[in-house]
Amino acid sequence: MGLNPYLFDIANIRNQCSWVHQKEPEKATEKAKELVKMSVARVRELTPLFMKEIPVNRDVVIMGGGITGLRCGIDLLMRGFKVRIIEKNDAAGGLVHDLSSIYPSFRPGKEVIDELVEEFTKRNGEIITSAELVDVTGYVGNFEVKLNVKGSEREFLVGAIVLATGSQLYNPGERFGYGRFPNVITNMELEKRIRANDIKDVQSVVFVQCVGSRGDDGNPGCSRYCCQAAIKEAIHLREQGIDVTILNRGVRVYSKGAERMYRKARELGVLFLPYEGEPEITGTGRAEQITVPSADLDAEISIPVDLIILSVGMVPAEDSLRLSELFKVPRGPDKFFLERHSKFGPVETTVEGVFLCGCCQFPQDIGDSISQASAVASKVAALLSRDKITLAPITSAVDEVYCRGCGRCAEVCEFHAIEIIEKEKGIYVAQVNEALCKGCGTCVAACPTGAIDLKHFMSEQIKAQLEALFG
Amino acid sequence: MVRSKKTTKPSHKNFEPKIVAFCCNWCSYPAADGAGVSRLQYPTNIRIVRVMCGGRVTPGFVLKAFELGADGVLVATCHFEDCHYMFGARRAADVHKITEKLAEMIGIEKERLKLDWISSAEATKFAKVATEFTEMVRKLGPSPIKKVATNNRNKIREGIE
Ligand SMILES: Cc1cc2nc3c(=O)[nH]c(=O)nc-3n(C[C@H](O)[C@H](O)[C@H](O)COP(=O)(O)OP(=O)(O)OC[C@H]3O[C@@H](n4cnc5c(N)ncnc54)[C@H](O)[C@@H]3O)c2cc1C
Repeated sequence: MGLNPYLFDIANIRNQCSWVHQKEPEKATEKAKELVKMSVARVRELTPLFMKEIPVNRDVVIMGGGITGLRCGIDLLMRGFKVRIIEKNDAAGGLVHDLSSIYPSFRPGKEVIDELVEEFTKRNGEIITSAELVDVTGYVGNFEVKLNVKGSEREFLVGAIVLATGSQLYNPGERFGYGRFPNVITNMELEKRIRANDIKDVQSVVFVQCVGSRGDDGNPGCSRYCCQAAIKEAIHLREQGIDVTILNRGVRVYSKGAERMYRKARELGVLFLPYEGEPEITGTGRAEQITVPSADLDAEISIPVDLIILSVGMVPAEDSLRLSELFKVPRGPDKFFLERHSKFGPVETTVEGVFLCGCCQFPQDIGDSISQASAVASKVAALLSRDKITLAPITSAVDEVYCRGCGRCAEVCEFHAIEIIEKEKGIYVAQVNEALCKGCGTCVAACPTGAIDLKHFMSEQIKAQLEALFG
Repeated sequence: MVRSKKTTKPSHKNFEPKIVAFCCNWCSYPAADGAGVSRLQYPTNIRIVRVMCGGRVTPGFVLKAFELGADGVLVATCHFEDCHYMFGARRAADVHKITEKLAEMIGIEKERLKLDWISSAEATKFAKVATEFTEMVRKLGPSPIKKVATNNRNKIREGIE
């Protein structure tokens, strides 16, 4: 009831006039008058628009069965939704599965994962392993997901999609003697060695932090987990009587309990040495010494080593581009999936019904990943607890009389909202799927005949504004 | 050779250009709002027309603005990487190239057209672009199309009368 909201317009005479022209009141007043004239002209051309309702499928699919995907899945199962996890490997668990222990609880990663998998399965969630996403079509409330599972196809409908595909660890290539010296390993390899109780004849261990993070090759930002993980690993090694030095570019311990862990490491005698530039690693057959320019002293520091650990950063997964294209979810400048808004839509994407959590969005540790997983679960629940979803009415519309079915509009529409259909025998016209149309109107700029227009921003409405300005 | 004084360019010091700015709903329009919140000052010459996406700005809109009397037209969109519609800003850039060609064909200098990328957080950039573009157009003087268009319109009006 009341005035249709699409018959309303704002003449922006405060933010875009009086506040920005405070020293020119006369000119600002003239401008304000013109802005009002333009707005009135626009309003005269507006037409009422109405929200549309579409039915909703209540099932959810989660891409990725790491700790984030599992947690999100359990949260949704607890709310009574049907949940499927698509995992590309032959088992769920992700990185955490292979961790020797996880701070702050220091429980073995596998134990935590096993528990989560058990709970997920007990609540009738389905984990589809060795699965590859082939295609996804549709729109919020009505996505069609197509999989390839060990060679056979599988298809189902879902109402919402959660991306929890994690990241990939930076590959140091041949840097730091990696690959050349058997005793230069990554932190992930260290975790596996600790798990296998495979640290023998080692007296001195040196960690190199920020390998593939913070402006080094790889992730331009901080990978956020590595300082804390290194401290956790250092404590374990130190407790076996091993000398540990952590070469760092500033220690970042921000998560809950991490400061205590850091202090404990220092008390145990773990050395923290700030370094600059690229460490030099020397030895015959194996790394024997590491030399770094110190950040504090005007000197180089050499440390004899038995084992060098590269704390590698997190970088976007190899297939993130492909997934980004399939789901139409944009990636940020760092190539991680991009949230709708860093503060006001941190787990949503610009695609309605597609959500993000965990390391596929940016590197983070388990605590943060889990918070996001649970946040996504509430967002999905809020979306799917309704029978119907309302669609915003600002969409493109085709005037079939002028449309000659050339398909330029369909070509430029990255949301696949336009299809060319054969209306009558031999007569082709463009058809807009209002559920998919995001209302950008780029199709309008592509149409050679003026057959397609964007509701609420119609050509006539904008022309009226221009005419009012110069009239 | 002594150059005749008459050939020096006329001064446009007192000329107040009219500039139309097509701003996208998600980035440049909120950036303009942000400029207001921060009380950043820029010349009064710009009139903003809100569109959902820079990619929706047809060459027709820009040419229409010039025909009606604009001295300059700015199209401001999101940055490529964080375009709300993912590819809208790129589309805007593609269309802008076509618009530039069309404008040149009818005698509009391409400096009177500007495409820029302003995120919603870049209020300062908005004020800067608005200021610099206004000064650029001021230097160019009134649009050459304006006179022709006004004459034509007057002729049509006279004809009707
Ligand atoms: C050496 C090391 C030590 C760490 N120690 C700690 C610690 O002690 N405490 C802590 O809090 N954090 C620690 N972390 C960080 C922690 O591992 C991450 O926060 C956590 O793994 C994030 O989980 P995730 O589910 O988002 O991603 P991941 O664990 O990477 O899981 C992603 C899952 O998605 C699957 N997947 C990817 N792409 C696809 C696709 N296209 N289709 C289907 N499935 C797909 C993957 O196979 C994987 O199973 C450590 C990390 C490392 C590397």
